[in-house]
Amino acid sequence: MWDLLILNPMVNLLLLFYGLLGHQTVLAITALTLVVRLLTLPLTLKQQKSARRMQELQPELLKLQKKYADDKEKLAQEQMKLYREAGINPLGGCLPLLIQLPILYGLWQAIMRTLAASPLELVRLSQNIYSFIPGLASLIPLQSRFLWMDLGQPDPYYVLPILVVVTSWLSQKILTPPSTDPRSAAMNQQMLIMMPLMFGFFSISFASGLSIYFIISNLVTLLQYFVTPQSRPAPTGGTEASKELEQPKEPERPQKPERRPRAARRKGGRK
Amino acid sequence: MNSQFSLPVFALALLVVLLLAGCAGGVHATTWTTLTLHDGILYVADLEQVRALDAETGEEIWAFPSPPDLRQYGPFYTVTLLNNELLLVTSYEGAGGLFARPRGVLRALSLNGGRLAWLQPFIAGGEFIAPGAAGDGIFVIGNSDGNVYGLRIDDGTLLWQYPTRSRVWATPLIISDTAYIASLDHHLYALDLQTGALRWQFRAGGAMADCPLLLNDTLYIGSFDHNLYALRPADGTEVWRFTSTNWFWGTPAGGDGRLYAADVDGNVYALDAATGQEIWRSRVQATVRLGPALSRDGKRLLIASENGTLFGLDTADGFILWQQAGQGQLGSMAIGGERVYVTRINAPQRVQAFYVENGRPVWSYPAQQQ
Repeated sequence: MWDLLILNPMVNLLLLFYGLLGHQTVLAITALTLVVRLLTLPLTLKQQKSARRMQELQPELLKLQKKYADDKEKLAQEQMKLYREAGINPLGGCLPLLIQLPILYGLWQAIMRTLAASPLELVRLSQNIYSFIPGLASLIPLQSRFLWMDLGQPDPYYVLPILVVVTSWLSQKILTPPSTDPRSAAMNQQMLIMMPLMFGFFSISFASGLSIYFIISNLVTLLQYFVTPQSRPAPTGGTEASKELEQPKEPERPQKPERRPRAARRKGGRK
Repeated sequence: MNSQFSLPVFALALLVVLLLAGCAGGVHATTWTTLTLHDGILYVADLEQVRALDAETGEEIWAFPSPPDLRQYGPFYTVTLLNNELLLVTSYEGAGGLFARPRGVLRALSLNGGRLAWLQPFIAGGEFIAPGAAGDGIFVIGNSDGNVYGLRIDDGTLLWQYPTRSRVWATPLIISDTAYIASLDHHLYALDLQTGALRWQFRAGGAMADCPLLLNDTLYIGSFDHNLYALRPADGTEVWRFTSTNWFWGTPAGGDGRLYAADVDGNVYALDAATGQEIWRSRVQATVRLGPALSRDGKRLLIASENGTLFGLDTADGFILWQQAGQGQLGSMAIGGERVYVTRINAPQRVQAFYVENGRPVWSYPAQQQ
């Protein structure tokens, strides 16, 4: 079922692009990545919008946590009430993400399968190609030489892994909201380091064609950030509440004037 | 990425990495292992080691290296009999250093005892996927780096190399003074055995990944363009072609004016070798990469599949007489007398022997625990 619905269409689309774009594997991977990212754009935007609204609620959530620190049941009730009033489904950001993940994994798998660096992978590829599209089988194997690399093998000079780490860091950085909540900031900082390193590890371990996909995907994220303002994260608030929770020794001034969350405005709460 | 979703995403991604990296441990095979039968002894490239096994009992006679040392030698994938004294084995060794790359390495071992006779000092850029072939004192082998190499059997000296435009995953066929070898670049090359000079080339519509068969002065080879070609060995002229529904990968088998071939969808064909006319077709429910093997008496056709099942077909009409399921993919087959020997990858039993007549198991290596 996975092959039928996800993998086969992507493999054949990649081969079609390869045939149409002058047998240039890098261009074919780029085209497929763009198409998949375009198709998942509504989900991406929905997820980002949901995430942004959740961030706006952080100050109120922190206040509630403090207020009902000893009553978990009441805390849960009040949190749900807050979500209801703000018109937010707390899991609303997860669903688009969960739908996207298999698609992106399918894209990854399609690239690896089509590059078919080993004979075992090539045999598997024989079962993914549509026989009703003439000429696709003749495109196998894909031209895997690109600059100094064999796209079916990891980059021996680590140029692509470095580019993957840099672009991953940049895309991660712009999507991570600045946070004055120490816990949130620490977690963000951790992710900002871990995620690019993890993708860098992928790039060192797997076919460099996959690194091309990572880089293109990160560049699309950066482009999307500059083109669609709604994809930009709101700065997280919660300054006072979180400060109280953390009890810092010296009071800090907020770095920037922060926008008050809609729910807070409705309730007439003070920043 | 929002921090609310970062942890689950990170955990999921980590899980994917571990799955992809095959964190279960052990040797991760990227291609199939091969064996060759000579004088009652099976020589097997078995990833960690090259082994000599008694074909009668499956008992190990010697192993190289002993003890196994994957870190130093890398996995062994192919063995080729060079002559009555030497066995050529290929491995893929990872070289040390920041910018170092793994390399395909050739070694000649003595048949008697498995002692190292020579080590080829040249470094091939990729893996040796298929065994080579020997003739007239010269050994020919293709490599994933796209080159075909010709070496002197006695000491491994590189005599010539011929570049193709894609990976060479096929075993060459040496007939007289010519080496015929297919490349994934869609060409079958006829090279001068002594010099490596090109005599002719035949372009198919798709890649070719295995050795051609010579039968009644005609070369037969399958291609990923769904065609099985019959060619004249003298100049590569096409005599006929037979079209199936998916790739032909393995070398066809032939005898008594018939040609037997299987495509990757499991369609098995018996054709008139002279005309390419279909005599019968059968189907096994499995992906088939390896070429069929014909029993000595010509009555059984053996089909090895990627799902680990070995099939025995009646050559009279293609009826499936028996099938023997097993774990892992089948790598190679050799028929000796009443038995067929197979290698497996990704399975506890790496080498097995069955009776050709009924598929009954004879022995397994390593021996199955009772």
